[in-house]
Amino acid sequence: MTSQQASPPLRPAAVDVAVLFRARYLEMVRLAGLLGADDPEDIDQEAFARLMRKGGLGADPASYLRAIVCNLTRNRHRHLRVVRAKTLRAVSEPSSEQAAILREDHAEVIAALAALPARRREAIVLRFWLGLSEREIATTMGVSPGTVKSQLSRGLAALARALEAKA
Amino acid sequence: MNNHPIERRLRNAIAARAETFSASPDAWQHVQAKDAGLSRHRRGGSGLPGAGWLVQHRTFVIPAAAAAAVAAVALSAAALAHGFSGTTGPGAAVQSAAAKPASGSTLVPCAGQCGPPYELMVLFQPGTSHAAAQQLLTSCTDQNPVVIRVGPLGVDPSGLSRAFIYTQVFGPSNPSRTAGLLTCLRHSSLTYEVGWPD
Repeated sequence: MTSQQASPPLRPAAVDVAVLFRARYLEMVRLAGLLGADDPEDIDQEAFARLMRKGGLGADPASYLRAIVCNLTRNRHRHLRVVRAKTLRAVSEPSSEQAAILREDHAEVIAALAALPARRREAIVLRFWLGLSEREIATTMGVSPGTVKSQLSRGLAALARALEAKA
Repeated sequence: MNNHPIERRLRNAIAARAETFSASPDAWQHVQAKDAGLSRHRRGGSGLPGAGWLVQHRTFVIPAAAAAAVAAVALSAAALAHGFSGTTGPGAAVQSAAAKPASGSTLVPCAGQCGPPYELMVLFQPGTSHAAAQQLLTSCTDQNPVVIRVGPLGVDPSGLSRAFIYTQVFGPSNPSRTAGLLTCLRHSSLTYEVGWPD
């Protein structure tokens, strides 16, 4: 009570979120970045703020957090495309500085990944970066496991075609 | 599955790309600021003076401000409708949409699309021919009761082919009625993105 003015204590929900934040923040920044977000940190901060506002983490907070990040990134794409009329390149591809860091063969794969439809890219990143099962991906994306299987299969086929064309 | 060359290449590339993203040291402060509705992330300034008052009273102030905003929108819409009641043409549709809520008799806050016809935007994959895009649009919208009409094919500022489908209902408010249409469009390999613009 007496120390409230100097440093207000966190609400119980905020304490839980703070723990999750320490464990998952960087991973979620990278997830948003891999999904093509123009400002991954902003999206992640909004995601954690939403968790705080929700007032509790629920049974599977990591899955819920991933779903928020995916949804916010998708909305952000839509917003940029429609309202600001940004170019596809500006939204989806790494900056020249980031591209320079990547090896050439990695850059080719990332460019092909960026050209995939948003849902397909989400499925691929969740599967091949986070290593989630089809069921976990389905929960995160809010679709059926069958849809995930189909998105993964079509996404991989499109990537293979794009990379073979460049070879 | 793990040994497929494409998959191995994909895992390596994604892992390398992920390493290029980092976290800023003051990220948690930004989260707290956003939670308090006082995000300074975009502005880069020092925050709103006296904002602590808002934080303390937000449970009362924010709903009251939202109610006042809704009332102001309702009054403006009513004034518009009365002031231009004899207008015909496209303007009348806009006025009608603004004055009349999408469903029911109470005003419902909406994100830019406030009355039918609602716009569903469809973006097609690079290289999609007009004929193929048109065929997909026809097959997904034909006999669908929520579809009013399909707009002409055009080109998005990003260079992708684009079409608008005009609907009776707004997807985010009526996901069950628009699910069939969205599923049909999203399942096609020709579709890049489908969404309801703000």
